[in-house]
Amino acid sequence: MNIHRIQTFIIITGIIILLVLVAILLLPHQKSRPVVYIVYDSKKGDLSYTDSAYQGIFAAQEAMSFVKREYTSFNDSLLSGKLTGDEGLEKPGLVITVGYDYTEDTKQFADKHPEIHVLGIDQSIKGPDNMKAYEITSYGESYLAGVLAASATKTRRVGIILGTQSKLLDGFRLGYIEGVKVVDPSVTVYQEYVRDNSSNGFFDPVRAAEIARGMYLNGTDIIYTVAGYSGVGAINEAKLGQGRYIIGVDSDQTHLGPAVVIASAIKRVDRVVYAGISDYLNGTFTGGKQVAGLREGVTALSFNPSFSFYNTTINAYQEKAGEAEAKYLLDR
Amino acid sequence: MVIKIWKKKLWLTGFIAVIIIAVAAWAIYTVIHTSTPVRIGVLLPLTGDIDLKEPLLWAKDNINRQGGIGGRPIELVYKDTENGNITKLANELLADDSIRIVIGPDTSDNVYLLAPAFIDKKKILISPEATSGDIIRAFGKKGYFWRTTQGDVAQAKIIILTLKEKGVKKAALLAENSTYGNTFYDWTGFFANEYGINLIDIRKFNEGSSDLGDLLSDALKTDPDYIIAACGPSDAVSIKKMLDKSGSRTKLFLTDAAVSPVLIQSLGPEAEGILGTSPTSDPTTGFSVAYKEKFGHEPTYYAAPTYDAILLAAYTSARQERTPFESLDDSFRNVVYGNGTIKGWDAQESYEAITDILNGKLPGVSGASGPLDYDTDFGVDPLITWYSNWIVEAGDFRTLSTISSEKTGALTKSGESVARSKASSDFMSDTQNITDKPFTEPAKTNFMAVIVGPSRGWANYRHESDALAMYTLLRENGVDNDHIILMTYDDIPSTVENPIPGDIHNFPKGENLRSKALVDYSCANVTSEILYNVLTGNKASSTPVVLESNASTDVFVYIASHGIPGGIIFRGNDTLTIDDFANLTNKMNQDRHYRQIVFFVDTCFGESVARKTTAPGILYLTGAARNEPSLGAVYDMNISQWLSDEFTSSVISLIRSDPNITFRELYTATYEKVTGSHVHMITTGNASTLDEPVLQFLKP
Repeated sequence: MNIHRIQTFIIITGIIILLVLVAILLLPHQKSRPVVYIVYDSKKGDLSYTDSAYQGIFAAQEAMSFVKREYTSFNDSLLSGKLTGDEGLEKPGLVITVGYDYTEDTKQFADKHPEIHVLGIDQSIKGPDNMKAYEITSYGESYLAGVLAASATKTRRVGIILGTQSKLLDGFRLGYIEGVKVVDPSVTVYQEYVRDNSSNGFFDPVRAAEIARGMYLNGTDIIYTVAGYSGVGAINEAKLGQGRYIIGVDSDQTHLGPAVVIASAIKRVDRVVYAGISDYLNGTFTGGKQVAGLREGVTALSFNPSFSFYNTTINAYQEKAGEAEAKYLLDR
Repeated sequence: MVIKIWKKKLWLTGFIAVIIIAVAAWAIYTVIHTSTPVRIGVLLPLTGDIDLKEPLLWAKDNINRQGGIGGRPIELVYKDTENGNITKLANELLADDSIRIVIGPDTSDNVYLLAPAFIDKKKILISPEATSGDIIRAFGKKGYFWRTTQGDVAQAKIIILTLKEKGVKKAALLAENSTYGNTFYDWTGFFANEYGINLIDIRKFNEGSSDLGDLLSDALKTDPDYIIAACGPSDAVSIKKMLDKSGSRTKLFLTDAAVSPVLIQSLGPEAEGILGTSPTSDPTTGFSVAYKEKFGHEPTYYAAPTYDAILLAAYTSARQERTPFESLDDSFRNVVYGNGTIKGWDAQESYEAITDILNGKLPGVSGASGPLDYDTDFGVDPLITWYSNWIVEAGDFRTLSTISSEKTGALTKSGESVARSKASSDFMSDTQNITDKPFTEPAKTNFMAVIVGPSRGWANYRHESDALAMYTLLRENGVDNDHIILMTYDDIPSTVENPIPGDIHNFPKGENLRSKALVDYSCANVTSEILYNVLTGNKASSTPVVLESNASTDVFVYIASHGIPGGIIFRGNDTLTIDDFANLTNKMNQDRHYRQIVFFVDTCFGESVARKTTAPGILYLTGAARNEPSLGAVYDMNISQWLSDEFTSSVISLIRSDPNITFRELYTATYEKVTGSHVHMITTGNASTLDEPVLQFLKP
């Protein structure tokens, strides 16, 4: 073979190898990953609902590989994807919206974007096939909260403070009342709303404290707070007097009032978020409506260890609570 | 022809071979470089009560599992300050060329000790815990020192606002006599004035002092709603026990230094209900939620800024990868002043931030503790810190609410740290409505000045320096030594602690002010009694030089010293009290010893001394209101001393920049310029003095 040809061949081969090497070094090393968007109904730091949802997506990211984007308001154009500079258009494979306030927006989004999986948590609506409306019913856990309140009250007066009027919160209210009555029909249940027909009712601890004060002064000794961050106001009010107690909501609120928070009706939003992401990533996400509560382990009554002696009482009503919840879901 | 073609091919082959070798070398370098870790020093206590290693490791692991910095993993090089001399450990890190950024130290005293060396060696030092309010003013603009939590000036402000919300009208402060306690001592009165709480008593005590009981008793006599105690847990326990024993209605409010199991273990059930504040993470970042999910327990109060220190170190290292010829401090600045897409603290967002930085972008960086936006002029401090208002409940510290320092209203301009707060105009003395009759006679025929800097000791450098600076200003204005009586302790130039023997200067590398000064009274001859005799013209063996003045003489008196409410401290127990001052000025007036007399008094609580003054023809300008201290200014790292005080420094610089400035204008300008206190003016007559140019007054 001609020596010049060999020379040329070696040179060209060397250049190609080096170019490949350079390309390997220069190219980004992270493979592109699935993208999940989540829309909370408030900023993080609410010490209950949103923090629970965040806990779920955090845990999911620790266990699985995906990119997350977090939002606190619903913006259709933003949620359908965004430009990310060098990577071009980033499109979510899964959009999670947390909170019943997003129900309509979520359905419309899902209708418009059949290629995106959509999970609406605490939403009860018939959406397209790419949407799962996941309703967490709190009837059963609230039933148990009512059982607890009726069992623990010394004054035979218990209360419930709700953020605002809504079908979703009706589950809490009705479950609580039934739970109270099943233990002792003579116990009086007082109920009040922090705000009328306004989701601001979940962010007004001052008003919740006023309501709680009024209830405690009229002899109520146990209040179930179903009002998101507003509940912190009621908890702080409870600390100001003897014999005042709270049943918290959404997440374990013992740390907010270890001497007054007997238990918390917890909603494992984190588990729903985690499961939704897991299903999407392993290809088993399905649309439709799903309702889950006590029997599915998505809700529970979590005790302050200082009051765990009530556990036995509550355990005795666990099955009844599940049945009551199922009946409520059928009848409504 | 064939040879020509062959030669051309040979050249071409050679050229390509060189390129191939160069590219191969670059590729090999890149491969080696990307496997070389980015080493970050850690100079913190790593054994003991508080676990700082956990957030450090978490931050490191989060970054490394996403690929590190362009493939380079972070490696933390630990120097445990619980087990070793901190200076020695710091020097080891300084000597290691592979380490360019160090996280630490934990205390403000150690920052003062170590930061100059890091600044000098151009290595970055990031403290996640040192919170002295003065640090930003000492090291601001110098670069290379930063921290991931604001100074306790912000905490002092939060405390006042928290008490205000609780309806508190009167409070008292007991502050530990330490770098930590000094911040609360210096600033609580300022914010109390601004936000309408009467800080009725303010005292310092030495840690573990047996005098604490007496100090508390005195404070309780003023019947405050709350006692704010800025101290460690042991003294907090003592205060609480004494408070309970007194049967007083006064409640206790603690600062973050008291947060310790010691408080709860020592007090037991008596600790229940104690309120306080501590720094915490921004709840909207989700850091606490994630931390608890990850580790099964809540983060400690300094976990978030410790985590953020690693983030900033990593981002700065990434910036250096991108721009290796940029100085390290410029890289840090570019990182924290970036205003691109905001990136958060978790593994994914920190990876995206690093990727952006490596690609030449500058994202807006946000940390576990909150947005990592920094003072635009001074650097050092982030602009926002979050605080937990906690209560002791069921044997633990429980957060009642979280408050952002940003929430607290603006006494600063946009981009300024809380530690640069200036007095709001609401409290300015009214200079517009003075309607005394102007002097018409006698005409001025003379001018005399008395300059006083009575403090002794290296730590009081600034008082002597300010006295000499004022003396120098007068001399430059044409006032000869015969018209100036200079009284300073005069120990600074000759003290063994002075690294520049014979020297005393008023700004770094400034002129030696002592070299040309003629001191009339020094050392033990600078007392309040001697000053009284000097000013009243009482000549005696101990006072050979006195004010020789009459009703046609304008007199200027300048004093720079320590102060207490109602007194100017000379030394030890020698104090010029409010009554002394009234008597002095009355005597001078009776004896017709002045035409007009202007006092510039640069002491803490300066306004309090002149409150009983009624003698006419007096203009009294001071740097601090009756219930607040004033601050040092102009820190010289080379000698580790404050060279001046805020008030004097402002006065002199304003006069120099505008020689025609009048007293009225000077008052307004210093009020707006002085950091951390409310400049006050008291006048007992002669409105026309206010509109006289200062330098015109300050000359015969």
